[in-house]
Amino acid sequence: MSQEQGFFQSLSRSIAQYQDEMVASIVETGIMLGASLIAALLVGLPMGTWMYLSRKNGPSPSGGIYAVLNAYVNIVRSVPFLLFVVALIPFTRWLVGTSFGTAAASVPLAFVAVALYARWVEQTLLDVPRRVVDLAHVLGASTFGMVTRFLYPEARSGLVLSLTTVTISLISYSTIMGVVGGGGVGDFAMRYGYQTYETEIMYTAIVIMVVAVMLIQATGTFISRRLDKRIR
Amino acid sequence: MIALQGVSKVYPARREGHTVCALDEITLSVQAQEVFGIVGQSGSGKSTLLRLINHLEAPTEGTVEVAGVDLAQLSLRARRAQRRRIGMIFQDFNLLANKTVFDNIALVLSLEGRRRRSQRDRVMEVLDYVNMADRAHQHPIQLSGGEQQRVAIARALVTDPAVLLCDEPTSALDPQHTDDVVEILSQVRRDLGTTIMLVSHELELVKTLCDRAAILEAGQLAGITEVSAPEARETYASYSERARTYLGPKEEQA
Ligand SMILES: Nc1ncnc2c1ncn2[C@@H]1O[C@H](COP(=O)(O)OP(=O)(O)O)[C@@H](O)[C@H]1O
Ligand SMILES: [Mg+2]
Repeated sequence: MSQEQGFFQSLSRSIAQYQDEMVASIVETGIMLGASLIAALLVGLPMGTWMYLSRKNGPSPSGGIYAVLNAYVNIVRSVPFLLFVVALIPFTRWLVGTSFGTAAASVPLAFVAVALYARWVEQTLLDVPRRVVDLAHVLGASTFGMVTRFLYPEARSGLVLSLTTVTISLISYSTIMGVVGGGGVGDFAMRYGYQTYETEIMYTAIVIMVVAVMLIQATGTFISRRLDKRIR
Repeated sequence: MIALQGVSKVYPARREGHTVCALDEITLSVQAQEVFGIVGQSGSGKSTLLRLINHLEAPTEGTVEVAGVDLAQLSLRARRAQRRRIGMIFQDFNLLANKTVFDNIALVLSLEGRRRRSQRDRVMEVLDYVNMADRAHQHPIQLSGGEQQRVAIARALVTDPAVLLCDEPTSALDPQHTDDVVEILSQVRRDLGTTIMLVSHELELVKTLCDRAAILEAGQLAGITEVSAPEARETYASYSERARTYLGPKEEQA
């Protein structure tokens, strides 16, 4: 029996053995990502938009507002994530009633998602030509109208691409969620691969994550291209 | 229709350094239905002057009135409504790239709160006026510069504005497309009686379209002149015809 055959046999045996746990871990990752992405859209998008509007030379400058939002984004992104998760435990416990499990793990991840996406949104809106803001004024749009009818439509492919990037970063962040019992594919790989030396299972989990990232990126790029009418 | 009284505009320093006095004590008035030109070298303050009229820029000093209304005195909401009575077209057309021709124009009506159903006829009407009705469902990138500018004119006209502001409307266009735009602007003044303010450094364009013109020099009004009617302007049906006539009438057989 060749070495290769032996590897595949033991791989399929391990997969069969751990199939249920693997599926469960994928679902856990899905929940954590889903919750954080909803937060990114509901909070990060308006927050980034507000940063764009309030920054110096923005459409409605306000140094105070910008300073506060900018501080949030910078602080959340600069504290090492593991430390951030631990530091947030009291808040998490207050919010979801426990500091352990998938729901609790989603809380710090959501904070990061909001900060990452807010920064991306701000930068993406800065790429919209200034004349679009002029046009919104000329046509008598309110600030809300300017954002929803002028800026978002013109920036939409960039907004999709940056959400894609945020999603992919979150997959990476989510792998350490084992520390608060969040589970997920990353935790699964650590438990079986690192702690019980089932190397095949660890590599399987890694392959799953790589494939997931590739699929997410391909989907994001595809949607963003479809939305972009600036190029023929 | 438009009255500027002692208007100055000082821009704050972009970085460290001196503030820019873009306009210095300008007083002028434009009659209803007049086509008024503003000429001057690049940087002389033409665009700034135009942008003061719909209050894209606030004057540092002086007052600007359009149809007796000073936009600076209005509430934000009233100012927005008033701005829609003032159409504007730009050198770079400024259509939204991700919207179709139709949606670029319908957008203006949505901002006025018009219902989707009643928008359609009006949008097609103005598109028809600029001969772009058959391109309604294309995106700006699929149009030539001249066609984009025609759509931009349609967008400016859709609210039936009393005043149309044009900032270098043909400067990005080749001569043939310039003719198209000139033709439409003449048609606008003839059919709609819109008061037009036209900024350009191209004297030929101003001579063709305008009744009077102000000459700006480094932010100062160097004079206002009556524009004498140009000699009958030759119009050409096509670029090749124009090229043939201009370059020389003798033709070799192809
Ligand atoms: N937003 C601005 N901030 C600072 N300076 C400006 C701004 N806009 C225009 N200027 C300056 O004002 C002067 C007049 O500009 P502009 O009105 O655009 O001239 P024109 O349209 O005749 O070329 C120029 O010196 C220009 O650099
Ligand atoms: Mg200019």
